[in-house]
Amino acid sequence: MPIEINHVSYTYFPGTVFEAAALRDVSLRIEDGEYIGIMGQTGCGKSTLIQLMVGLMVPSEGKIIVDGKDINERGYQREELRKKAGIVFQYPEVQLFETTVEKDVAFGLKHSGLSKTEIAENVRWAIETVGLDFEKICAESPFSLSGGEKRRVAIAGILAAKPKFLILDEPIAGLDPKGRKDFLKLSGDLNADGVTIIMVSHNADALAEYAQRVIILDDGRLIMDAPVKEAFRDVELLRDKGIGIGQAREIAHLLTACGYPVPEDTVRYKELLPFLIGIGKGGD
Amino acid sequence: MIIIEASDLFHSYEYEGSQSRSIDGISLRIDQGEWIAILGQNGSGKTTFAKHINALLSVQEGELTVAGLDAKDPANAWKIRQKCGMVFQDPNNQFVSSVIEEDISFGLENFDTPDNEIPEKVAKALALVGMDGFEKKSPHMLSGGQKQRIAIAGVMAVDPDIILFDEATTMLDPEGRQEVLSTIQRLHAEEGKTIIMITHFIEEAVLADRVLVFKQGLLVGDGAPGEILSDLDLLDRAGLAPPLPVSAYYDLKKAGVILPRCPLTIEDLVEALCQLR
Amino acid sequence: MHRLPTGMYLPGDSVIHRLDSRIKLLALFIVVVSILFINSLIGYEIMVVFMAVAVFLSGISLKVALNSVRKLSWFFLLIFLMNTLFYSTENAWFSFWKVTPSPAGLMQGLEVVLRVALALIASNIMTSTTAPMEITNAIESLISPLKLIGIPTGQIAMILSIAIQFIPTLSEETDTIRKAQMARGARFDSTKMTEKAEAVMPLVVPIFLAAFKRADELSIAMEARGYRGASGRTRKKFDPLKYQDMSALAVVIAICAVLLIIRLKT
Repeated sequence: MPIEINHVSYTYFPGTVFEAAALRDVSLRIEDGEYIGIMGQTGCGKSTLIQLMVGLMVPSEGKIIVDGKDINERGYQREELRKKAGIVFQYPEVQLFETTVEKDVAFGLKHSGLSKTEIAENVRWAIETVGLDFEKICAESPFSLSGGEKRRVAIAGILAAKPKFLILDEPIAGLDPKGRKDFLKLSGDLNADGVTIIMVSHNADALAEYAQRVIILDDGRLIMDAPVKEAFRDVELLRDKGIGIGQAREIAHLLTACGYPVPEDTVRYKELLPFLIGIGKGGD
Repeated sequence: MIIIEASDLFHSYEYEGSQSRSIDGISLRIDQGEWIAILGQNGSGKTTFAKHINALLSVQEGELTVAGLDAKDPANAWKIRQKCGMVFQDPNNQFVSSVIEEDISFGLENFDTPDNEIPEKVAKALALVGMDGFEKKSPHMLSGGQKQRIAIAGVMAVDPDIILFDEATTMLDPEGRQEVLSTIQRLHAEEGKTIIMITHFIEEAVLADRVLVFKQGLLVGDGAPGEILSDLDLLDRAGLAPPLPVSAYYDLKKAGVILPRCPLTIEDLVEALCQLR
Repeated sequence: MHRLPTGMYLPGDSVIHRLDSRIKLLALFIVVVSILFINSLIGYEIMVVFMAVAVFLSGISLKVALNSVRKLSWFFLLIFLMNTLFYSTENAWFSFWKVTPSPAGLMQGLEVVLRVALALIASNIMTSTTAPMEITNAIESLISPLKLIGIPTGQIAMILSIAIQFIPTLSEETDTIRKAQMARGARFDSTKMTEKAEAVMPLVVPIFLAAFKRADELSIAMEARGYRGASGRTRKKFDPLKYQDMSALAVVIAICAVLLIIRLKT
């Protein structure tokens, strides 16, 4: 289900003293099955963009077209979009409210039209997919769980609807290393299964590892839309805009600066290592 | 000079009918002016330990002396808090007023600072964190990094000897983290404060004088960053990932490239490689 | 979150903005009480003119001043109709079951609506020209005599200050929670009563929990900063009253005295 963002602009509080342009004429297209990273400083418009994509907000100008239909056109059934798109906000555990984990995860499926059996199946699948033991946890209160477990339950609640495209807003914020690793791997697995992933993150190394394409916003404008290996070439530009380039790219850049050219499209540690070894051994 | 001394500290709490040990026997000494970084997985006891230092938690078992005061004596709690301030993780949950100068004077009022000294101390605290002139502004209009700096100003206004940071950078974006870290560096270098920083960004631990590693209520590592952060075994046991330059050091070693020292930062790594030639 | 909340503070430099907030609060109180005992045309005329002058002096546009009135238009319509139709049976135009529209009812309806509208406009002027913190300080100052009879005014002021400070944060959090639940299928904008009721839990439970969690964290932070309960110490938060403050208060008292006299004479 391709998503097309067509010359979209968004302004908060138009016509008042608090007026602020969050997005300015942004256009891009996301194909089925892609894994896209969205980067940008706080205030660049990333949150606004992702909310527009799932129809939580309506653009001031421009169109959002999903699977060929304008989602803000009169007559468009939002339900359609909700079934296909999932969004995990930062600190998603704040959305938990039910008396048991099972009920909370099933919440989104209440009006989905699925049968009780199908719902139960989806819930079980979702809970297991996020790495929790269904039998142990399904009847527990979500509020009795640890922080990490709560986050997993919250994510399961969104996965249960088996969305075709999933937006993640800084999903690993506040997680410890194991949590981070598990989560990134989950996103990769889902993508391998055909789910389109859109991940907002400051962590360029994580995106270099999993994403195929990176989009960068600056002050409401799209300043970069490129394959991940290309997106971090221009270190000066990115630094100027306050965008992190990741440790691997940083090392490559510094080595080039001191006389050991490492290709500018080196963004992953695994790609970098052979060069480090090469330099260390005195070769080229 | 020793400013914190803990001896066989234990702490347990009850949860759903059973007892759990959050601190399982910690002993250590911290000198005045040291910058300590504390690492460990969630639930390893780091925050529980930190809350003992500023008497937010009372000592159940063991001995603890902070800035010359016996932390076991409940009467000392308030005095200890004057010597030991704390900055918390969520920038939004630390303010009592929607006007910055009022919020910063909160601490000063609590410790009976005379009215006429307050405006000067507020101004000084704001200058220390690089937020001069923000007296009349509202905290909610600030960025995360700025909010934390205001929180730091609120703590510094009282001029404590020790400052605790409980994952103060976790909820910030990279820019905000940098602002807070620079502020901590200044407080340490220029004001001589004792810093105890719980962090879950291992790169931040590189800046400290000494790193403590917690695991399941126990201190499993205590040493200089160079020593602790290059100990792959220790980090793995504690559920932590080493900094990238450290991984590179070991990967290079496996491939036959031996660097003179284990680099902790990217700059160290690049320098070491360049100097090899 | 895309329309400005009603009565929000709009910073400015008008005559009213610069008045001492205690005076404004006292004046508001006196004005609202006076509105309640107006019962003659001339009385209403005086009050309306006074209010118009106040709006002008505050630098707030008429549109903004009337905002809260506009928001409650359905309520006003209801009150007006209720009074017109049920207030009195004297000289009723017609009678249908209990429904007896009458001129007395119409007048009563108009009066009630006018009184509430005027009171709302007065409060609007207050909140638009006075920062929340200033209002809190004014309240603390004006209720401080109650300390003598054991009311913990310092603590009340602290609670108000904290509540105000949390408004933007909780407001944003509510918005996030609402969006997150909507994104996973909650139907807040449904018209079915059962669905509307169902939609309450996913919003209310997380918001309450979030608010409690924040309050809990803040209380720990306050303890860490040496709070031991309101020390009973009130810092000087106000500059001495200027002649503008005193004259403004004098004007308000004078006008309300006039209204009182008119009332007593009729």
